[in-house]
Amino acid sequence: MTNSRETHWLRDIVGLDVDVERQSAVIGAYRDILVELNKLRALDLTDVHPAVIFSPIPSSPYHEAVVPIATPTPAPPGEAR
Amino acid sequence: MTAHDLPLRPLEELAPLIKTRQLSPVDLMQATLARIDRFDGDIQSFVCLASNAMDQARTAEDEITAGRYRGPLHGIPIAVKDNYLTADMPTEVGTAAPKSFPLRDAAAVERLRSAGAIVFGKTRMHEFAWGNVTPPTRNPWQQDCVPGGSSGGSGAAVAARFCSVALGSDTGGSIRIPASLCGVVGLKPTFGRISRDGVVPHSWSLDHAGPLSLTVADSTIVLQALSGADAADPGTAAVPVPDFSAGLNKSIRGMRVGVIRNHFFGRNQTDVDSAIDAALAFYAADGATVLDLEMPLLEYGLAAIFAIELSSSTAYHARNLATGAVNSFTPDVRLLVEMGRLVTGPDYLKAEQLRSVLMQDLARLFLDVDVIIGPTSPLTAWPIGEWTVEIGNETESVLAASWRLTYPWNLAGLPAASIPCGFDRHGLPIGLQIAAGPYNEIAVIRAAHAYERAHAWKERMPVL
Repeated sequence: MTNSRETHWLRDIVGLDVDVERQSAVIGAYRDILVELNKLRALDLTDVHPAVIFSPIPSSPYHEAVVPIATPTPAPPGEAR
Repeated sequence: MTAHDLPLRPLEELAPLIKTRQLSPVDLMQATLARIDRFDGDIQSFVCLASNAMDQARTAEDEITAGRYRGPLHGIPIAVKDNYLTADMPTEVGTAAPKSFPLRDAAAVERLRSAGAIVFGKTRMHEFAWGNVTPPTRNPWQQDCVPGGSSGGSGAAVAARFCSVALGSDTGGSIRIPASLCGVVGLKPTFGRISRDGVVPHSWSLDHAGPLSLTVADSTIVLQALSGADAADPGTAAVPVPDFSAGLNKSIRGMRVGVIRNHFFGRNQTDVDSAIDAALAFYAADGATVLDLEMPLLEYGLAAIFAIELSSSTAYHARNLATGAVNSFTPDVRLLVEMGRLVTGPDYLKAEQLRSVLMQDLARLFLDVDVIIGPTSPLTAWPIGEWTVEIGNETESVLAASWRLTYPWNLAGLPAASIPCGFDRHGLPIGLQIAAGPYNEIAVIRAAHAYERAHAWKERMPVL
């Protein structure tokens, strides 16, 4: 089970706005992936440029459907809803 | 060849008959639809058949009769995975959740139609391309087993001889896994070779479009038709498109075959290992040099693909998370989409750093070898509803095991194919995976076609 601190952390910082039971399921499933991620975190890749190429030239025309997603305003950190 | 047999034959045999007007596209389309009507009630590989399929066939026939033959895809029925947008069929992406995708052709579908192909149906896929089971599709070789995924409908449709070619998409193995489990050819080209414009995204830097087919030549013909830069897909590369048929009917004498002994071996079913050993023996006996390799950094590959795939998928589904549409996803896919929120920015970029090193390491290996060969999947098709598998003394999740050998080629963006290389003790197909350096699909085709020509696996077909 998650506690209320985890609830606030997931909702307010990570943006995962699901009920407490659901949070437990998500965190539980993520633990296996975290084992793998921890191996990667321990690898020193300081001098490696990531495989991401940035270009200031637009690669595709502006998409008119780019609009804000309507979401409820998040509560300030620490404040219960 | 009787009308009944028409759909059983590969594109490479049908195309010359259509070109010389010995075979009518209308008869072929009719026979295709009749076979689907007869058997797909059990296999469940299609989610939609185009209401205008026969009209398309008549148009193709009229053009060919009038002397306007367009090439080897003209008049050939081809199915596409249900994440390719189509103008004449809805796109459902394997989900029952609310969605609204436009009725327009994906770039790859446009290219197929321009080449004269009859795009006649949409194949079933694992929801949003996030899984490798593809319910409720059944594996034609044993109908109580999964077809793999996420392009499971395409794999099953080709294996069942409903069509000689179906398009799939591959983010961590989703073309090659069903190809392996269903005993057909699956070709994931180099990242950037085929436009993904109009393919519903799963993970932008890992997604590849490509064919599943009965033979290597069939996939080669389709690759030729689909390749090329496209301004609508910023991931495509402005590199020359070679004549891929240069890889067909070539000897492998002098070819250098690499075998990465770590990661790709040691945790496979024994029948899989035996089939791969036999295939490697073929290459050695036929004049290739086989060289053992090691790539220790693959130990970190699973973390990298999880970080990239989870966070990308969750970014794509931001609207579905915000509106609650994700609540209508199947439980496994909903969990993955929600979990992506937990991947941190540094984890994501560290994964992209690892990708850089993997690509550099592979570039070094490809100085010494032309292709790298191994199994496509450590296991054959597993029973529907089973979630773990015993490999040696270890119990492993089938989902974790099944993509272990395919995702490295998505991380590196390199071309890789799966071709049939035998059957296990239960009569289930085994796949041989062949990969090459960037944009060197011709080497993959050369090694794959040489193996295929020397073996008769493609002549075996499941009893439906």
